[in-house]
Amino acid sequence: MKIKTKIILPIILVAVIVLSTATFYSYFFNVNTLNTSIGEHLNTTVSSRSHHIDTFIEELIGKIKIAATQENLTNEKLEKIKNSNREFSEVFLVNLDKKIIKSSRQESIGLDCSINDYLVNKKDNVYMRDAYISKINEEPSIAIAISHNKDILIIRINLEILNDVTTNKTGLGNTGEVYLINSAGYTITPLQFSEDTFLKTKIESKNAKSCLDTLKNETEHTEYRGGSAIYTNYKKIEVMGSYHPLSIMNWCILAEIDKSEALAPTKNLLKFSIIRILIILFIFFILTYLIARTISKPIIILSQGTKIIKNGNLDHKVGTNSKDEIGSLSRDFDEMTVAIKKSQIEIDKKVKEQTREIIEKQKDIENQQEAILNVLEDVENEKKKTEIERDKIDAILHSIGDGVFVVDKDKKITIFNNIAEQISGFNKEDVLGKNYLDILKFIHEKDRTPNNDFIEKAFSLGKIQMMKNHTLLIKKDKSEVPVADSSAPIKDSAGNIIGCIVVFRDATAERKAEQIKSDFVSIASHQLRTPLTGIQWVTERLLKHSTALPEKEQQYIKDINLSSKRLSTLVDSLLNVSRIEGGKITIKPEKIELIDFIKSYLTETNPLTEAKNISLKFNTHPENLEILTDRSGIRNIVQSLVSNAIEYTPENGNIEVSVEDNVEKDSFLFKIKDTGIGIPSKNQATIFDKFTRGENAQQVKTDGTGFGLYITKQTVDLLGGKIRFESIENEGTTFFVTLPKISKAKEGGKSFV
Amino acid sequence: MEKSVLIIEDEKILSNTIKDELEDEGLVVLQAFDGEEGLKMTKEVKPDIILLDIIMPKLDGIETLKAIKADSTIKNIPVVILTVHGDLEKITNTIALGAKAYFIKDQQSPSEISAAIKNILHIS
Repeated sequence: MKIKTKIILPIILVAVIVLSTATFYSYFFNVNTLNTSIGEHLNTTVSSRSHHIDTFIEELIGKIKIAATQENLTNEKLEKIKNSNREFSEVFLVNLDKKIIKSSRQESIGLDCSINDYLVNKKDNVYMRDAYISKINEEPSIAIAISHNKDILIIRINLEILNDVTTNKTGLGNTGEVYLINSAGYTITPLQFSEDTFLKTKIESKNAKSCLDTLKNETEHTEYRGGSAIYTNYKKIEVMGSYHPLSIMNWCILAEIDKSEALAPTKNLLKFSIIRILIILFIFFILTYLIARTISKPIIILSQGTKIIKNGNLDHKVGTNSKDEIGSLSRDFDEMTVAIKKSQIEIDKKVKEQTREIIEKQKDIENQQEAILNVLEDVENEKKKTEIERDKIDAILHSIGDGVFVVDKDKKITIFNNIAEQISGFNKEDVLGKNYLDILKFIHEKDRTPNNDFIEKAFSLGKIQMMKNHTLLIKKDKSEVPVADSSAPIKDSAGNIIGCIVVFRDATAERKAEQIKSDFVSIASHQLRTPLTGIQWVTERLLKHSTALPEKEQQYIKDINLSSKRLSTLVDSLLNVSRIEGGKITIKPEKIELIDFIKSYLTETNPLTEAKNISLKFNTHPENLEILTDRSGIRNIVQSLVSNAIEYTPENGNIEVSVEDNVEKDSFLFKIKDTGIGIPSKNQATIFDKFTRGENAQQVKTDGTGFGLYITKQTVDLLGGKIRFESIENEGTTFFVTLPKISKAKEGGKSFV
Repeated sequence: MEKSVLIIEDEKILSNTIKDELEDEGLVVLQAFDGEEGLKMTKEVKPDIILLDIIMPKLDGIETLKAIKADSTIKNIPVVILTVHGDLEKITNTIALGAKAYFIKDQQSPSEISAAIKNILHIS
């Protein structure tokens, strides 16, 4: 929007609003005032005229009262009364027989008179008959009656006398009129716009009804304030009108002016107001236009100037010479243009300088880029070398006969070799980049719980971990394969664990071999035992009946018997070792009274101790100790340690066995102290190993297998206990076995034998 | 009246040795060399006590024991299990199946076995 418009539009808009508001307000004020004044005028008119009529009627009443005071009213007297009053049409007397007995009019005498028509509307001893048409001369009349002696004096009055009052149109314009209606609402004075209306036209306009209602409802209406209103009158046109009740006759006087005439001046007023607004607006428009033009002209010049300058002509001068703010602005603008021109020259200079610098720098960068490309080439060569190295490692890993996979520190698989693919059934694509826990499920063979410890521990402990026995790997096709092997942490040069390498192999064949071995040992031991038993039994029978044999032969038989017993023991040991190493030992805890258990075993050894004169003491404190453990296991431990002690203690030696209860730890200590040959210190570290015996033991007993303490140690471990010893060579040995009173059950194999 | 013992044992040497031992003690000894034969003889003879080996051809000791205990005419005859050392579970299980006692052959001598049998038969 242009500045000019911006100035003119709001001013004009405000002017229009203000002017219209003022004009219309004054218009409606004027209309209202006019209404009020016309109403008041009409009110005054009806009020004064009603007063006039009331006075007239009151005078008539006064006159009849005077007339009635005269005695002996003759026809002449009546005529005289009639003639003395211009408005009297006839004066007459009526007797009780309803006959006119005397009258101012000769013709009337003797006529019947319907007296009841006259004796109505009694006020102040006077009866007043409402407007009616006289039968005698057909003139509109009213009648006043008063009793006179025994007769009734009646005066008939020509009602046309009132026409003067109503037809006076002073101050009522062309359409204004005043008329009377009787109590029934019929007109009793002439109407301006309708002829022959006497008692013929019933007025039912709003004001007529209001007036008649007033008469009915109010008995005393001396002080009535007339009301003006706009309504539709008998002519069916809108009028302004007032009314006033006439209480004596129960009439109403109505004054009306056509609304169109009454309000005619307001039409002109409206016309004049609109013209006035338009003139004022026009003047306003011219004035504001001129003001706006004065303001906008220098701005336009300024704007044109800037366009020229924008197009590059910095030498152009806007040069408005007005002295106001815009003039000052244009001068500042001109100065600014000059300054811009100066700085443009400066900038051009600087740009040239900088462009030169940029070109130089670009050259530098190009040189550097070349250098970087050379370096990149070197890096690329190095990368190739690294790749070759990696390929070598890959080739090595893939050539290894075992499954290998490598996880990074987020447990994501980064290398997965061909054998790993073969064993697990997963492809490289299935596993690479994924968390191994999501793909490779290692579980315990027995309870099928997850068995990832060997990998997690490699991470947490940073040490090589062996996979536990009896681990199954769930293959891609959900079948299971027994696996064995180990995991090792991968460390960076700083020693931080950055991953883990897992090597595993399909242990199906190993498991099968183990099973075969175990089965073989079982079967072989049974097969060995049966003939051994045969030998034992037969030799025993022989000994029983051998008294006839020479002593030497008897000794032979004893030797056979002893050898077969030793062989039997050896078979037991082999079977135990085989079961221990195969992990196929069952621990079946049962209630055992330990003290009695040991006592009864020690009793069995009596022949042996007696033979060597060894004192064997059992410190039976406590008296009773009930434990829950594997019977074969505990028997093996006690038997092995006691028989060893007897074996390796020379004649006349001492053996002490004791049991100590450790209530706090819910465990007990089995202690056996001998005065035997002891364990040489150089053998002490390995004495619990398989096939290991003390060097000095060989000399005492040549038939030792080296299984005894190995089985004992394994048994103690399986029962959750600990074994240690103190020994001095040639002085003696003490074994300490600590076992829990309650051992954990273990399934999945067979008991010790 | 002499008590009778039925030995059900496939190893003839063992069977004969124990037979000799028991006969020395004055018992009447009958022999069966497999489970089937043993079961048949048990029904026919109704011995006072049965010595039953476990590992045998045709019908093994466990099945034979079950069959004896399932037959109301012979189920009250005491059965003593005779076996070699090696499978303790199997051996102890026979007690649950109704065996009176068990002997581990390579740990007990014939004289011990016969003493125990006499004890069961209340013969002094």
